[in-house]
Amino acid sequence: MEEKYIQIFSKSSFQELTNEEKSFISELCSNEEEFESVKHLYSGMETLSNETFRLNSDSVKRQLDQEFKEIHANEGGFRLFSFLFPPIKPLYAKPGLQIAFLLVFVFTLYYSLNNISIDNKPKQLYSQNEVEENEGQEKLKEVSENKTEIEMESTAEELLTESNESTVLVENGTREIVTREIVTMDTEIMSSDLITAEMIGDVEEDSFFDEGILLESPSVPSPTAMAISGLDRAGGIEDKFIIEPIGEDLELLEDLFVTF
Amino acid sequence: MKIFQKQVKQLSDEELMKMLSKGNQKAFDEIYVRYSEILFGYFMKMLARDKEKCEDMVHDLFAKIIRKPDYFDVNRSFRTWVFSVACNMCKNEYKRMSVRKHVSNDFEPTKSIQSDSDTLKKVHESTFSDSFYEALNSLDEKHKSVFALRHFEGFSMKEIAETLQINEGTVKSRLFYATKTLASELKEFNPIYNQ
Repeated sequence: MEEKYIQIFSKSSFQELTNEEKSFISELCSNEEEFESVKHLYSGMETLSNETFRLNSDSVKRQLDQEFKEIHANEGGFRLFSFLFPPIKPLYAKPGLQIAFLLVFVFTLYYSLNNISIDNKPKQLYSQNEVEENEGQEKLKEVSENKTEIEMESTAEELLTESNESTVLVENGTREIVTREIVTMDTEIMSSDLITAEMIGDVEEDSFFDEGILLESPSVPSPTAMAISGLDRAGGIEDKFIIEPIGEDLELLEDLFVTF
Repeated sequence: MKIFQKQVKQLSDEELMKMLSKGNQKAFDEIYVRYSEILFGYFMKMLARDKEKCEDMVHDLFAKIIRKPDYFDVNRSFRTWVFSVACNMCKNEYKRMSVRKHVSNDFEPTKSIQSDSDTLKKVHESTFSDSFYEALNSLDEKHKSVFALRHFEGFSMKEIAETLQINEGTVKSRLFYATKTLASELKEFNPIYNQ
């Protein structure tokens, strides 16, 4: 189609065109004036087509080569590197640096949080343990001390109560029972003494009675009776050696047996 | 090496683009040799012969090819693709220029009506070439690009349609409109009317 146009406009004048050619170019030029102007334009453009524009290729090419090398330099097996650090993009837009900053941020956050927990937890635990241990030891000490005190006190109290009770019993008329026991014991001792005396041959007849009279008097007890009743010869109280006589009072035995 | 160079020169644009996308420097060199001058000439005609700007445009265009070679569809003709990129770049440049014009008009005093001496100067001093490019630049961008591609780059109607992504009928009508306008603008250079 284009060659047909060229052929038509290469003709010298509008008059030479056939009707078919005129209808073909009617859209472009409908009369002789328009035909001539278009024809002149085309002929003028032929002279322009010889006009060439020289590009200062060296400087442009050098820049382009540099860009090309920057982009494709790392492509020999390092596509990932070139993806992470593209040469043309600005520094903040490089994915590698962005990922690196993100990782640094995440790690610092993680370690900062972790350090807080790591540093404090053992200290707290240690301190707690120490405190607990100290407290425990102190408590143990206190408890042991208290226990010893309580035990001491209780024993002392028990002893005191027992001695008191015994003294009270002695004082409140139970002396008779005690004396009876003492008498029996004394008779046994005396009998043994008599046996020995008989064996020796030195027997005093009134001594038994005298002893009996002496026993009846509360002011001077015999040494065994004093020992049993907790009274020493000097007249002091030794509570540790008091043994409560049961005698006829069977109620006292109840506490000695465990009943279920 | 010479054998390799011959092989590169024998390759088509599309094959060179495949190699270029894989980082082949020789392929890029060949593409540059084939199209740098043509594209520079196209920009010069389309952008009122501003040499520095046209050099920048050529640089930008090839930089786009280097950075994004994957944008090129291998099934398409490289020639039409690269000129479509060039046309789009020209469109954007026209937009920028029009903005600058509006901005400068806001500050510069309006020019007075051309005097007779200006008209005479224009008629007598300007050559056909200057008048032609002046008339071409006064055209609308869509008509100018069709005319330039058809008459300067030797594109067929089909190729122009493919490059500008318009149908062939539109190409034809735009081409006729541009031709008629330019012919009427350059009528005074016709010796028939000067006589």
